Amino acid sequence: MSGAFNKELLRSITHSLGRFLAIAAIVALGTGFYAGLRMTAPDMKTAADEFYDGTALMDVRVLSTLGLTEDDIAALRDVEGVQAVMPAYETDVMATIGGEQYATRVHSLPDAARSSDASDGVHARSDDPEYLNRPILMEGSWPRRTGECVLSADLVAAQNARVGDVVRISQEAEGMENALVVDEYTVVGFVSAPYYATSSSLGSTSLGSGSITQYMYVPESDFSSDLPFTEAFLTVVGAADESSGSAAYDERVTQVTDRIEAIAPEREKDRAEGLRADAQTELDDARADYERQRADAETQLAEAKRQLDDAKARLDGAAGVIAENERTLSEAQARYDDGKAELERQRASADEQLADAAARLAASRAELDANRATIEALEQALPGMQSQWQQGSDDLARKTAAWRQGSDAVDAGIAQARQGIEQIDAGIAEAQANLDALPAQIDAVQEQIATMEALPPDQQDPDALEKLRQQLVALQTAQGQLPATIADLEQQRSEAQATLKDLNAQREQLDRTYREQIVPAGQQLADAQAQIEQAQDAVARFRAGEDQTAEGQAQYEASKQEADAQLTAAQRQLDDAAAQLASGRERLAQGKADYERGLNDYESGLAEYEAQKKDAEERLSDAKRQLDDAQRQIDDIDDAVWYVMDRTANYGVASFDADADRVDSIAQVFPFIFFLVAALVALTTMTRMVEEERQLIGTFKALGYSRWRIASKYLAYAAAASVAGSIVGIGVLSQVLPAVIMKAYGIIYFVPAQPLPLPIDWPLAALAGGLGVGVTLIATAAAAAATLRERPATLMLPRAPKAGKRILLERVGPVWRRLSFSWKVTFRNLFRYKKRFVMTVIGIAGCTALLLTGLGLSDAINDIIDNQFGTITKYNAMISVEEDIPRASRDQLDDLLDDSRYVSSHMRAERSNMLASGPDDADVPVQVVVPEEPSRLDEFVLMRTRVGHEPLELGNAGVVLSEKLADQLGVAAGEDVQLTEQDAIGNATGSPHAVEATGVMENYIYNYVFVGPDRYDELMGERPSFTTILAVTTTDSDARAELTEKLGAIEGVKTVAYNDETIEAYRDMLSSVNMIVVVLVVAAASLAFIVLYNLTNINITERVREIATLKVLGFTPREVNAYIYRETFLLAAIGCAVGLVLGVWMESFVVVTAEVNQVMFGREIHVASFVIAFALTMLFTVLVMLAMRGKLRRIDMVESLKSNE
Amino acid sequence: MAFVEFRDVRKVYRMGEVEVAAVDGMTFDIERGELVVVVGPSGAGKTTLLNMLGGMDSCSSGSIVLDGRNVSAFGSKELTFYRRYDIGFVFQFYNLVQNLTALENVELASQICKDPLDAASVLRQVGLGHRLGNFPAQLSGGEQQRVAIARALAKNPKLLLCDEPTGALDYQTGKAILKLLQDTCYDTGKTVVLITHNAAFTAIADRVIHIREGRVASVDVNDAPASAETLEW
Repeated sequence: MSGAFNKELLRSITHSLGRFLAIAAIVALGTGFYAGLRMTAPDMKTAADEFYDGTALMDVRVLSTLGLTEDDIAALRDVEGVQAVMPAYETDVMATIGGEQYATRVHSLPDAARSSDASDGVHARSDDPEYLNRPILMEGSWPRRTGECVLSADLVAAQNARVGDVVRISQEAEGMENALVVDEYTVVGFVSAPYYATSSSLGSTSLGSGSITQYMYVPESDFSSDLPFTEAFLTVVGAADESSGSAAYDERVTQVTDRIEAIAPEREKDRAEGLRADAQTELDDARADYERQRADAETQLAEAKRQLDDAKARLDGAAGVIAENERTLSEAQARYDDGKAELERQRASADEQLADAAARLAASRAELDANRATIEALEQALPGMQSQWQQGSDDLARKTAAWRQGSDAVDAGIAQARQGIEQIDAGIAEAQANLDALPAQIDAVQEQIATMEALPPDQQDPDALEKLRQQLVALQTAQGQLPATIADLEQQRSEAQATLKDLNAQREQLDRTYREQIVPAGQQLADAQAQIEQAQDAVARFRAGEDQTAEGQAQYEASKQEADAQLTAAQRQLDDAAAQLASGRERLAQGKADYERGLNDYESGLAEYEAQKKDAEERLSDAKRQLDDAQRQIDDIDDAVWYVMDRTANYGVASFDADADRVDSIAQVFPFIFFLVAALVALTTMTRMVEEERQLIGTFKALGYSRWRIASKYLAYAAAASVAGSIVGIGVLSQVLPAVIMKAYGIIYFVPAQPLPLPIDWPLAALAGGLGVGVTLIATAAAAAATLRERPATLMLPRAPKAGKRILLERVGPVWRRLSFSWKVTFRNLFRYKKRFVMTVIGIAGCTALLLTGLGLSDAINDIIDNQFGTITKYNAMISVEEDIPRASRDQLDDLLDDSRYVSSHMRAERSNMLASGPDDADVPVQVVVPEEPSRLDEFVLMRTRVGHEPLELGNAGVVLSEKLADQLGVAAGEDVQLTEQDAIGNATGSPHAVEATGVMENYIYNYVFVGPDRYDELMGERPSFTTILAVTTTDSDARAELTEKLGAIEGVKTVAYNDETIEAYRDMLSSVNMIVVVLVVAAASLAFIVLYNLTNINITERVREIATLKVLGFTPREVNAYIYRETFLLAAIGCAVGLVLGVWMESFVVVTAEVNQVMFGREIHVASFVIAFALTMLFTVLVMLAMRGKLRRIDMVESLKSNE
Repeated sequence: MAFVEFRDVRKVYRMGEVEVAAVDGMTFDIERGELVVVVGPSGAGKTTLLNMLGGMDSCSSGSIVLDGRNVSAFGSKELTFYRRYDIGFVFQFYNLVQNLTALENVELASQICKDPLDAASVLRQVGLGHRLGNFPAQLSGGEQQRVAIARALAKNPKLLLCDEPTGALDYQTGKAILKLLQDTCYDTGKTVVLITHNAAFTAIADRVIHIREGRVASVDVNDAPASAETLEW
């Protein structure tokens, strides 16, 4: 290459420095941004790796659900590839630091920490290779004795704490009670821990609001000695040599984790068996003890029972005896009473009988005395009467005998007469009968005769016939005689009857004689007889009466004597009986009293026995239940589960790595726009240059330079510009960008930044530079190609100016006609130079888009807090209480919460950490919130959709997901989400519950699932316990401090958390974005300046003649400026408009890419941001115009006189 | 008093340490309505004279008076308005705005003037009534120059300055343009100053100013100028 040619090249650079710089600058911007952004992630990772290696951050963390024993640790040490093992303890506590409560994770700090040296802030050097996760002491000293601790130097939570402050531990995690031997610590220093590389999340816990807000390191000896190690930290051989998170690192670590997982099952089993065996031994002892006690108790009870039963039997016997005695006594009494009555009766009866007898005796004697004279007279008359009667009796006997003789004779005559008559009657009857029978006999004989006569003569018996005929004659004769006989007989009979009549008359005479003479005589005699007998009788009776009376008197005397004796004896018996009764009654009463006493004794004894028995039984069944529970617990001791986690399970490490990757994914997209603009700038600029040097090219050609040689000038020019740009751009931005971004991230990550200069990733730098230079060269080649193909002769002629063209707008006559010429020209020009149009529009669009992205990102991030805490979350305090808070405390709490000085509104709710799964993601940590009164939820949380702001109703059965969660899970309203309960370290327990999401609500921070209480009940099978109180409290700090103090004084109130702290923490965290916004604004401004400068530069140089002509025509400078800049301005405006659209897209890409877990960035770019992005771009445009005004002014009108080049 | 008066006008350029006087004391007058041809070889100071007369440049010393106004004393702002209202300029290379049609190019000038002529009629006057809507690229060189002349005329200037108006044109077209300028001068009474290196054009001038090496060599007044049509060179 000839010297002159090179000189020409050099001069063309110096003579068109603006052009050269434009190319260099845009290439610098493109390559620098690309290289800088792309190197940020590796730089971040290198810084992290340096920090991790320098602080011996574990490569693997092994966590066991049952803790780790020395054997486990030894087993881990034996795993191939394990370099160091540090067994450690950790537990979660609620710690009060400076009056505020923090959910704090407490770690054990090995003694080796004291001798470690971390003076450079990045490395913690220690002689103990087994001392891992070394915190770096930032302030104060290491804990040396029990009760001393160090806190985080980085967290907002510790900003008020000072060395010497006291940390009071108020509550320990469930299952880890008394893990720490002291409950009060003195802060002796502050550390930065690699284990907690970020402040955005320290982990979740069952305490407080559910998130760890502070960590502290205490001496290892402060952990209870009978506690197994909770975890072990390991480093892997050779892992430190690899970059943390790199594939090689992962491979090494994975090899070891695989090996650990291979030994894990055995260790898990051993651990559980060991625990089970220990516990079983203990339980067996306890059970034996229980059995012994039970037997004892049973024996004692049985003995008592037996005694009671005996007593009872005795009492029953006694009761029988008493009853028997009572019966006997009452019988005796009855008998006595009967006897007494009988005696009285007998006495009365005896008296009566005796009196009766005496009366009768007296009466008899009186009667005898009265009759005595009569009787004695009668005795004297009696012999006369007897002789008189004898005489009359003899007389009568004779008369009677005479009568009897006559009577007998008459009676014999009568009988004779009656007999004769009867004989006559019989003769008559016989004769009559014969007479009556004769006709029949006659007929019979006649018939026989007839019959015989009818017979043949030979057969007739003449004798017989004759006999018959005689017979017939006899008969007929008899028939004639018989009536005479009868009459004769009747004559006789009448005679007999007359005789009888005489006899009967005699008879009657006799009877009359008897009646009139004999019977009365007999009567008189009988009467006399009776009189005699009567007298005799009366006398006899009198004599007998006299005798009887005498006898009666004697009897009466005897009876009286006897009765007296008997009655006296009976009386004596009765008296005896009465005495016996009295004594019997007395004995009975005594016996009864004894019995009652015995019964009372027995009953109280029995009651006592029952009570004791019940008591014993209860105690025993309690003990039994406890034993059974214990047994069940032992049986339920599942094998330990080992969680073998690498660094990706450490939130800080993982999210730092993820954020670095995020930067990288943004880095891969953003610089594209710069490269595109660089190409366009190069193309337009070089095109212009080639045009300008058209004649020169022709001259070179004419001089015999080859096309390639000529082209090489332009390529060399472009190459020089782009290489220079690349070097400067990459050199500067590969330092500045990573530094700025890391500084921004430094707000939430405590990874110390790498010292400058940052290492340059040469391949990447080469790639960036190559892209920048390549793009420029290609554009240059394209620009030069057409011109170079032309023949020298043509080239020597000025190029025909580009023809004017009508544009579409002209067809809209009314509009077009109203435009001034300068506008017309502007519009035509816009479409005349397409390359410039594209370059400017894209460049400006890029600028606006970058601005909008930056501002939008700022909006998005500020909106998180503004929307979350300004709009959505209305409560500003959360109070958690014990599930079994005492009644009195509850009342106290209610009173306090009802005090409008402190709290304007409050509601109970249930809050628990769970894991949610959906089609797109699984086991996402969420906070389930169950309000007690869903209808009042709107006082505490604004539930609405983000798009359209439609209010959502939770109700008793609703399930509302926060938006980010719903997106992450891929669950929309009306679809099912799975909720799983989790244990303290965030592992799923139990099976998932599927539930339909009824709505998706706008929410920015944290993943929430709001569940209606009824639905919760249905889902979990239990009523929510509502141990959290959401409250809208006063914002006055004094009143609030008072409230906190009062709440703290109530027993059963666990924690009080105000979300102001959260807001502050997030504000800090998010302010990191401002740096990024500044970077973006600077980049955008650079882009705008370069493009606009270039555009204006080209516009001016290309149109010098036109401008000069206008000047000649008398256009004022202002008019000239307007003529030229209107075009620029319009292009800028179009670019802006495009940029706003592009920016919306780019912003959403960046927001979605940059979004961190559990946080949703605001999704709306504020109108102000659009306005600002637009205005800033236009401002850049105006600035460029102002800067270029001088150039325009300096254009000499003489130029108009020159020929076209 | 003459319409245009140049009195001892100098224009000195400083090139580093060297001062070069492009115009070194020119003095001449031009009367109203004259067709003036300024003729001289390359480097004689024609263009510098033109620049100063056209208000594109100011003189280093001396005075320039046009229609009684001392142009040489104008500041840049006054010069702008001077160019705007008083001067019509016709360039060698027409200097039309490529993106405007013939009519629009004329209007471009007329829109900024106080008392412009109707653009279309001016164009018709220069014989381009049929090309009003054409873009410069669609016109021949002569036509473009006519547009340029029309543009200058439409401003209704006091003085029409033409810098080698036929320089980029062929002979016949050049003649036609000269004719147009001559006719314009006669028909409209406009003062036309035509700058050329071609001495043949002096024949059509009312007044010929010969310049050489920055000075006026001679001023000839031609009482009977020839018609441009008869001109030959």
